[in-house]
Amino acid sequence: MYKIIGADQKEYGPVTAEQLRQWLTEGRVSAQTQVLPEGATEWKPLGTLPEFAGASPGPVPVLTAAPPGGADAAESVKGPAIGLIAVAVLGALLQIASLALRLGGASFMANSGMPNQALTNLFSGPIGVVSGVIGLLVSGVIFFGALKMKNLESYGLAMAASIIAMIPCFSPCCLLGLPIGIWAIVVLSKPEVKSAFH
Amino acid sequence: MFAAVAGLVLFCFDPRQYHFYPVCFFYKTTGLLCPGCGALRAMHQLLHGHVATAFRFNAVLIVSLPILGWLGARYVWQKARHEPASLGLRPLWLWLILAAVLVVSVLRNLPGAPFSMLRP
Repeated sequence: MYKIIGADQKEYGPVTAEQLRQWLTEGRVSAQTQVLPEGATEWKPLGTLPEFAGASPGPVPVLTAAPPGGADAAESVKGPAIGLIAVAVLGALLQIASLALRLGGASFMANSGMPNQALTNLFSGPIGVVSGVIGLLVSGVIFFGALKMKNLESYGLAMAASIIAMIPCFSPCCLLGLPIGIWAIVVLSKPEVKSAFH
Repeated sequence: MFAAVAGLVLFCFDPRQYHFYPVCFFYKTTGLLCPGCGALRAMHQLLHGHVATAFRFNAVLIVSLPILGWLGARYVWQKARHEPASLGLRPLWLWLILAAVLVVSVLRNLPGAPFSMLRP
């Protein structure tokens, strides 16, 4: 039986070797995942245990005594993190412009076809502003998650920012957010990047 | 909680009639449809059980919803079992999804009868 430290820095297990091999195949753990075999006192990278040699779906990286590829991981996440920051900043600027127009009395609405003028006024005013503020908050979450990703600090938040950036009508601009979000998720899914988060 | 409130708002207020929803700045500035254009209208129709109409507003979104649901349910299930969770998406799949979305986005901006079915 083995205990492991997941990419989210939480401890999982004890699980059997068979279960661990399955997780390795599914990419849920990597050769760099820290493992504590039952009865042992020292955590070791999974790839250094002889019983898991050859179980990795891809080529098993050469493991040394030093912690694996933190600098490489930082380099890998830099591009998508900056991309997400750009999406967030663009979104924030557009939302601020939109809010300024709404607060200044301009309306994005076409009055024809509205069922009720009182509702029209309500939605173009207060609720329109709330919608803009939510848009700003979404941009803030993407920005914060991108910063965390760049500093390899919070895997969950980085993944959340990447997903939010892709969602149509929720993302500041899904046309930009979709490719950058996918790029970010591809990079975040790499085992060496997952393991480098702390 | 947020998703529930957003769903309720979308259910009650048709984006074709109420314009407090986020505007697509890409469409406003270029006049071209982005991959997300029609998504809110599609979700409104879907929440009312009108799947065919929802599909007409944004086919990509409606096709991807069951897949996203499956991925999300699997992720939550892994978390609930206190196991290391993963979305389980291979990079190749993600790039293929992106390519498909971009192709549909180009097609929905082309003039002509078959492509007009992709326009909201």
